[in-house]
Amino acid sequence: MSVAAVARKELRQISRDPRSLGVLVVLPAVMTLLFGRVLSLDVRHVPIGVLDRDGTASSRALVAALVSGEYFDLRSYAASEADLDRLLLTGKATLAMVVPKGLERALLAGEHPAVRVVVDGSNATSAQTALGYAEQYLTEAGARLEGERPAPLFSTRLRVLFNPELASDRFLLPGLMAMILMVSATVATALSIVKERETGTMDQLRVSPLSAAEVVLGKALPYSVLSLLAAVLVMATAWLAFGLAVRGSLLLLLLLATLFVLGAQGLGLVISSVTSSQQVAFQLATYATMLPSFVISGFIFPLRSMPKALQLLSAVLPVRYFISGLRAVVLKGAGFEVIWPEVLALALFCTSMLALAIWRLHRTQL
Amino acid sequence: MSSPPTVEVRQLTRRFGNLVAVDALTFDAYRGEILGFLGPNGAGKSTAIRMLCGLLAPTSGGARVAGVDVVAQPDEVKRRIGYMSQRFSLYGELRVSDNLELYGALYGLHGSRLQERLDWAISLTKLSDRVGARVDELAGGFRQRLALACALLHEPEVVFLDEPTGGVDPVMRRAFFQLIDDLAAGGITVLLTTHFLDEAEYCHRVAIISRGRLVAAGTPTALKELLAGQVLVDVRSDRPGAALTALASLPELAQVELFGAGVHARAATGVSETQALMATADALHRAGVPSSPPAAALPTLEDVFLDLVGHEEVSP
Repeated sequence: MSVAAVARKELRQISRDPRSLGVLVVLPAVMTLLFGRVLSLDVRHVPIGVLDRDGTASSRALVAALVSGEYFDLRSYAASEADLDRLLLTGKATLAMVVPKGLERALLAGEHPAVRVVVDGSNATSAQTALGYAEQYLTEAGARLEGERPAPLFSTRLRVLFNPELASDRFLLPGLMAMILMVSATVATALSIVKERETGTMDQLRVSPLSAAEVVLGKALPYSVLSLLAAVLVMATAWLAFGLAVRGSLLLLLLLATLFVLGAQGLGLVISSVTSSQQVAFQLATYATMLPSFVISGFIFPLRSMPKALQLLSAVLPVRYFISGLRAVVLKGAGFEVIWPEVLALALFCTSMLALAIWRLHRTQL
Repeated sequence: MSSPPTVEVRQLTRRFGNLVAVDALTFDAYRGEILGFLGPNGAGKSTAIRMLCGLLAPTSGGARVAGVDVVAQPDEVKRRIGYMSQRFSLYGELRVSDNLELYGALYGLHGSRLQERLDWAISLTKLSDRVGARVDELAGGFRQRLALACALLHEPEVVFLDEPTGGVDPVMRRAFFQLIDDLAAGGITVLLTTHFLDEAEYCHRVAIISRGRLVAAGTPTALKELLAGQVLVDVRSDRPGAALTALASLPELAQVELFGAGVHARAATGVSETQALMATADALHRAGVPSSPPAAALPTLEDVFLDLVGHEEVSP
């Protein structure tokens, strides 16, 4: 009953403070909308520089072929190698192509002239992707110029499941959603106990017969409801703005989100119990959630290619299980029989965090 | 007093590392009594109160509050006491009624019993027309009363008031002590801490605490009798600082202190009242400090306090 009294108090406090309500419920969806738009590992509109030493119809056809799609934009023609180097150095071009003198003549003579492509490798990921595209375009264009297409030795039929366009935003959105929810849910409660300590109301609660468990649950439950509301808005945003429809069961998704959010709130309360000011609590909560959810959660960087130590560390991160569960349910339509390990891990996280928060609060009472 | 004490404190001690915050405190308080802890900031008053509320475990010694051992059953103690902190800790963004309902619910009040206590609290706080107002919109005096009402909703036998009048104007302070007096008359034991000497005068008994130790305890009158036989000289002046300088090195006076718009001085041993008054008037005249004629004064609690505790900071 006292849990209900504390929960009612928390809800009243939040509802009297529209700004914090907005930050907790609406901001995650706004963030998803904002960052989801730029969230892409796909390479488009790569600026290229061209040094055309041939200056024939064939060389121009080659350049035209390269910039025909949306992947490459012709930024400028260079007059010399030095000019081309400068374009790469200043970042005006990411990719440079040198068409050798005598290209057309060589082609007509049935030779296989080499076209040199230089790429700015300072962003390794996009450089690799751009090279791949360039190679593909040039091979096709070359074949057209030669007027023949070499028959492949064997044919391959590729089929991509779950994300047929291999769009990276499909893959990244669940991670982004998990990260935003992790940060917002943790920060929300991280501030709450410290705030009560700062204003002295914590002492007032402590002299009442309220137990530590009642304080923790009374705080975690109402915030979880709000964070779940935020999660629903985030899902809706991902669906409406980015067409990320949920293939699997919504109920299963809700279960994952509930366990995750409740655990994050427990973590926030633990942070709240070990800090003495709202400022420190905020910083600790953001550091503890932001970086791990970004770097070692499988959000962007595949876990399998990480050093063993980091893989082990990520194994205790709830956000990792939430992301993989989310991807499985949203993209693949997986059911409970597939993602039960994720559910189990999140349930463990949730109970251990709440227990830790209760223990901490009980201890600081003495 | 015939009935057993409602608060029994025996050798209560709390250390923080090497610091002894509360040192072997022993005293009793009875039903209907207002007991004031008087002492400078950091004397250990709040630490003692926290131990008696079951918030802090004593290092050694013990206490029984409302018949319950605070070491063995701190949770049971909490049900029987009310506590009001020096910050009137209320939820500022919540309404008056929200705060009252919360504390009522925390102590297990519900239904008609809760309503009855809420009505009582609202009439006590005289906030009937502002029940829907946010607490942080209320003036200090109202917040103080609301905090008190929250601490009394569950009808505790003992209430602890930790510096209950900070930031409240003198008129409100007087009204507040009237309220406290009514509560005590109703049978509640009130333990309060203060560093205001005038507030201590409202208490039935005062315990003077310095550096964690109980220095003296008794009714304000009994404490003042500790200075019986000593000659006190009172001088009123518009320039109390100058008066203090003029009198500080006078051999007839042992101790000279600023006292409101004037100076209190204690005559040195063996100096008669007449000698002391004449020497004082003479010194003030020589120094050209305009003042009232020096008069023999009755000791106040402040004189007692300064005599016992010395020159640690204290507000008049």
